[in-house]
Amino acid sequence: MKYLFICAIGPVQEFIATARRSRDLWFGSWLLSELSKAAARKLEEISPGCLVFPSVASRELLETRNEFTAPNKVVAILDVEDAGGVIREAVKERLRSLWKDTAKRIDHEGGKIDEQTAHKQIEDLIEFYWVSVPFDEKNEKGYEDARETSERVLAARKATRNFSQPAWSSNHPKSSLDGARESVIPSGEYPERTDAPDEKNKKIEQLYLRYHARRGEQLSAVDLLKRLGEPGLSPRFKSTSDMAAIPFIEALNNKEEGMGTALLQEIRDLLPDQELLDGAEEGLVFESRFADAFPSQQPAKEKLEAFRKKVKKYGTPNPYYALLAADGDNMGRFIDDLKTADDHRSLSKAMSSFALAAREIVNAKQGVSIYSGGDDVLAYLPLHTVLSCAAELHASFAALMEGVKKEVKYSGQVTPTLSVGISISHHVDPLSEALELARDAERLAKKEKSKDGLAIILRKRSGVDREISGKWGIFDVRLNELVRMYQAEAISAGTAYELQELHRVLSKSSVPPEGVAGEAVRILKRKKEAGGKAEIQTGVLEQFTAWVQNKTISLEGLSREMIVAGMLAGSLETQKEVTA
Amino acid sequence: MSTWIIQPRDPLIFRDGKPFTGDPGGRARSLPFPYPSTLAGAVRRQAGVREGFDFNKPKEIKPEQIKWMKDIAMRGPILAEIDTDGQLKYYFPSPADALLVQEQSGKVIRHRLKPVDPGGSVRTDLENLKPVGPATHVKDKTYSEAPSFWTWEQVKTWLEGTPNHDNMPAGLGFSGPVREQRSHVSIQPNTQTSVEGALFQTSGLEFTRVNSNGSPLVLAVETGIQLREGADFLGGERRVVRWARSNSLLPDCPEGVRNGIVEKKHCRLILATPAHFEGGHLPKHLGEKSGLSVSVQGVTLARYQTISGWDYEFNKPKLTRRLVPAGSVYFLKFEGDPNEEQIKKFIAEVWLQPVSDDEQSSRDGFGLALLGTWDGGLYEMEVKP
Repeated sequence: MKYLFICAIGPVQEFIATARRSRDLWFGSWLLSELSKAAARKLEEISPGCLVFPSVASRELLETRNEFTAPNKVVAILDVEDAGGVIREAVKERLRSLWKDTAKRIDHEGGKIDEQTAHKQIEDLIEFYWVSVPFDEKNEKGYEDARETSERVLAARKATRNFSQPAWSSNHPKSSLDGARESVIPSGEYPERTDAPDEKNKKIEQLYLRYHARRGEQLSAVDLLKRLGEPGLSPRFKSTSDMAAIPFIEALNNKEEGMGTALLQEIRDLLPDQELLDGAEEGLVFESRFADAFPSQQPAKEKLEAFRKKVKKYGTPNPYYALLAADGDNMGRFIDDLKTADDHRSLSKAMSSFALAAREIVNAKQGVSIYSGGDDVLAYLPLHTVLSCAAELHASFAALMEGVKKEVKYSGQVTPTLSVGISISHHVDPLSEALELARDAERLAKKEKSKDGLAIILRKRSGVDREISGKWGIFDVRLNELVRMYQAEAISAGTAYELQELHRVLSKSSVPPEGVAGEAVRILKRKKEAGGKAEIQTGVLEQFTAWVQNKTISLEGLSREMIVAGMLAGSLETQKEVTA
Repeated sequence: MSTWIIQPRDPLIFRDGKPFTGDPGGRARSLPFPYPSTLAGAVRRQAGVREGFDFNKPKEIKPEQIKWMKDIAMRGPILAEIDTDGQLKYYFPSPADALLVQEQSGKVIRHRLKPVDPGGSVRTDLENLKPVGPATHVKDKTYSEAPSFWTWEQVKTWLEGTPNHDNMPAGLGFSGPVREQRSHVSIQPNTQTSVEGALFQTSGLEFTRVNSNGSPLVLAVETGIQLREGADFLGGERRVVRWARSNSLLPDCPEGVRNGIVEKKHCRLILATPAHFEGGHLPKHLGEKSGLSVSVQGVTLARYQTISGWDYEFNKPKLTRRLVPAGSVYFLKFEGDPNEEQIKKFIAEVWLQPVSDDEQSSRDGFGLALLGTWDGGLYEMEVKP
């Protein structure tokens, strides 16, 4: 008799939804993966070779310092029916040790938190559900039936969502990240109105050094874990502000070697204490990030003016960055079509390879991988590389799926593909919002017929969200073409808005579509290239005419695509237009 | 007891516990629906003002006056719409025992969840309760546009029980007040221009609507204390609302439901407002008032909600507590074979009455309950291991 064991670790939403800074988001995903790995390692220990999901080529991927991200649902085939308690304990123990390290780090810097409350908050954090279903391995359908039963029971068990009242409540202020827990930082650590300016600055510095708390942030034990846990693994990784600034710095370096890098150094030289940088690199070209590096975030007037002069000399950096969320399509159906544990292991191994490959692709594109596990990818990237990153992820996934289908001798109807959603947000907007937007884009991409879609949502501070989407192979080709045109400065950014205005005026009239198309072409012929000198090239004009006359793309849709393409082009010219 | 309606003029903000500071990029985001304590507070303050308490000098309000205010009970808030004839059309939070999924074809199916018997050899970490799920293994994805509020008519039919699944009915409900977002700036007093980078956002609930019949959404509460009609503030940022009396009464327990519960000696309890139980998800004192012994067989909840709030009495933050969200469903069994009288007494004491464990939470309006039928049966797992 064998036992199919599934456990689910959470709360997933909580870790990801309450992020304020990029590190919070990264750490939330990392923590969940760590806990899942702890569960997986314990299962391997009890019964070597038992893991089905995640199934890895080598055991060392499950070790804590390894980059591999484990999904939060772990499936194994065991010889015992009641391993649940032991696995839960292994997961809790891992969390406790992570907290112990964090507490030690705080203590080392002289911080004094409310240890009792903190300990209770940590103990209370984890959700751990499990199901164990017996099956006869000699029965051909044994595993298949057990899997179906276990999925059903797990869903039904999850629906109960049992909880208890917090043991750690008090009248203390609540967490600035989620408002759901009391802060454990003593109130004496915060500056009072009656403190002298020196005393205030000292306290602000200490709040940052001891707790990584900024601007009067109240932090619970869980928040402290997010901010301070495992510093060795995230050595100053780049923030969203850095992402937004990277195209600007690169464009400068392209214009003249080392120009962008020199600018950054000049800015750094204006800063009082490089230690407080909190990892900001390219992001220093933005005034808000520059100001952040000063104690109490208020640079002296001269410094601010010197900063503004330096940056203005070169142009205006585009303050937007991209957040990419990708997810496999039809994975559930594909998994159901596979009937044996070994076939599932083959799929799981391929998914693990994809997770590692995805991380490498994102890094190569100068992005930061927040989460890369199974068929799920979450990363933030600079605007000028996000499109090619998405394309490489899509291709890598397709190649791996082809491999799996051959290995398991698949004869079914389903082909898993990768749908990708991208949100473009301002670097100062709350990360949780950018994330929601990226998930909205992912959902939009999946709305394409037979999925396999790409969707981008641009949220500019000044207007409504702009959505564009389409299928891989058609939509991305067109979008790349548009981006190339902007990069070559073959069209001006204003063209898109004129076409949009045309649509607005004529769409409510009785002018037939051919008439509208003709009018659009006439406008294009009149436009000059970016910079206003050269006539628009014939090749470009022809391409536009073809698109405008194509019934599958609306003029309004095309103008939206142009606006987004302008953002993705990353040239200095378009950056200036964007922020004008 | 009379019903009062609160008609918001501005979008209302009901804050979660997150401190809203001068940190640029900060947001004050509203909860999707107010907690009962917010409305109870508004009722009590109105009552206090009528009595002549001066809320501008809180330290002068005496302890017995505070107690008098805290003793005022309120039932609600219930979301409603004013009908063309001036009557209230009620909406209730969608019940958690209804699962809406969307098939590949686009069709939306509604599944009825019930306690499941997983079979003797299947183990889970859940103790003392049965898992709750649909009749068959459902693989389709949850319908992304499932309404969060159902009309009373639809809820009534759902309470009366039956089909294990059906097509999602037309006009099931909607998702309540829409979120509206505003960006604010911080103005420097000497230059009257905005501070660079100091952008804040507030996100409020829009109750006024420009829809088919344009009838505004209101919040209905029931209380015995005399209130004043007219303009008032409610929630964060001093947004304006209008109080008015209403002739409508909250709905009664449908006859079909009453008979069904008496016959089967089992029932479902569905929360109309969030509840506070000392044990977390399980109530401690259910049925005690009517002398019945009630056992919970299974439960289906959405994730717990966290509430703290501000204690005006002691001028500090309140303790964090967890609430069972509205819409959660409890499958109850009456132990000891009670008779028809006793069961009817239970129904009268529970129907749209607060069932929270502690008295103050009940007076605040936490835990208003609806009742539905349940025959006590479990779904069997089709595939036996």
